[in-house]
Amino acid sequence: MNRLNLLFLIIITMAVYRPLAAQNKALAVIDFKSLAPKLQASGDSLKIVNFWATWCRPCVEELKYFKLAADTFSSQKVKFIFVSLDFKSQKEKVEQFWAKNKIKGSIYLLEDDPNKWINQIDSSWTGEIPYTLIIPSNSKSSKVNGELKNYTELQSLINNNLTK
Amino acid sequence: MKTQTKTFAALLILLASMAFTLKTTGYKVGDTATDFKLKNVDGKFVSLKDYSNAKGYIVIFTCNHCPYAKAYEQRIIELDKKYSPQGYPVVAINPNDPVSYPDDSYDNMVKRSKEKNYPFPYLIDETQDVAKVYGATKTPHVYLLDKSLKVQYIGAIDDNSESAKEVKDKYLEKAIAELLQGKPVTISETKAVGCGIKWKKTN
Repeated sequence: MNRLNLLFLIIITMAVYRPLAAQNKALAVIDFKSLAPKLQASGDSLKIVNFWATWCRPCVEELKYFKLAADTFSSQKVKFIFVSLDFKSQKEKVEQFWAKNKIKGSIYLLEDDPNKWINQIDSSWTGEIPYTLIIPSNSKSSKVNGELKNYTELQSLINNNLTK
Repeated sequence: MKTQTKTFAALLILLASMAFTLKTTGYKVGDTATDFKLKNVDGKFVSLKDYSNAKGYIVIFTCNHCPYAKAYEQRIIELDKKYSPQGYPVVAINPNDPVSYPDDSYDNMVKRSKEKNYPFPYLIDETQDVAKVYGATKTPHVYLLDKSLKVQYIGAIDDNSESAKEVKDKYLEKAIAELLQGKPVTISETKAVGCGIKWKKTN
């Protein structure tokens, strides 16, 4: 190929590579003190916080609904936050899973004693996952304790909690 | 009876019936647990009353497949080795649906208990009724009972699922130590993350 085409090819590759590389970035491992502010109601956006783990089959199954929701609602004021409860020794596994699935949203690995943080989120939650928090910008939070049955359930939750 | 009394009586009955329906299913600390008769990996049936010398029981809902259960497996073995001679045997119960989780089938329970030489009974809760009555929601989920089957502690084994070496707080052992000393349990409920119990799909 001639030099001009080669140059174009290089530019195109760089343009494509950078966004792809960004999705493989390192996973932030945080404690509850760092996570807590992210669970506060935002001034203007609905926050959807999903607690999951790579080893949790129902969690992985419902993530496809979250992926679709994150894409569908990308132009609306909805923030998706995903909190992995995988062991910190499995960090790379989580990173690979996340890069492969390309779900839009923030992803963290929570490393902290559940006995200290579970009750701060929900005293009736006995620690089983999946678990999803729905934090509207200006009304009361709610939760889904267990897996979502289908995409419609998630879609309804989002639509019902978006500020009119 | 005066109308007012009748009204109050009716209201009281209504409230009492609501109290029963609003109650969260499962045991709270202080409740008296039921005994059970479940099949062990050796084919025999086991009940808590079989332990005539026990001072109490460490009932643990656990299973084969769950990474949290696996991470705690050795610690559960050690708990039994340490506390069974002191009157608190471990009684492990697998409540999961083997249809959706074949790793948790009876045959696989037998296999695992032999591989690791479990010193405690590993019982199958086939109907999942015991898990429901206890209110277990995940594996592992601990219920520490005293001799009269009163629930003295519910929740986590310790504060670090992933690594026994990094454990700082041995919640369950502290509770057992207090019971052994005839003292009330100071921290009677703790939280931990675990795999949700795999309930059978009903029609």
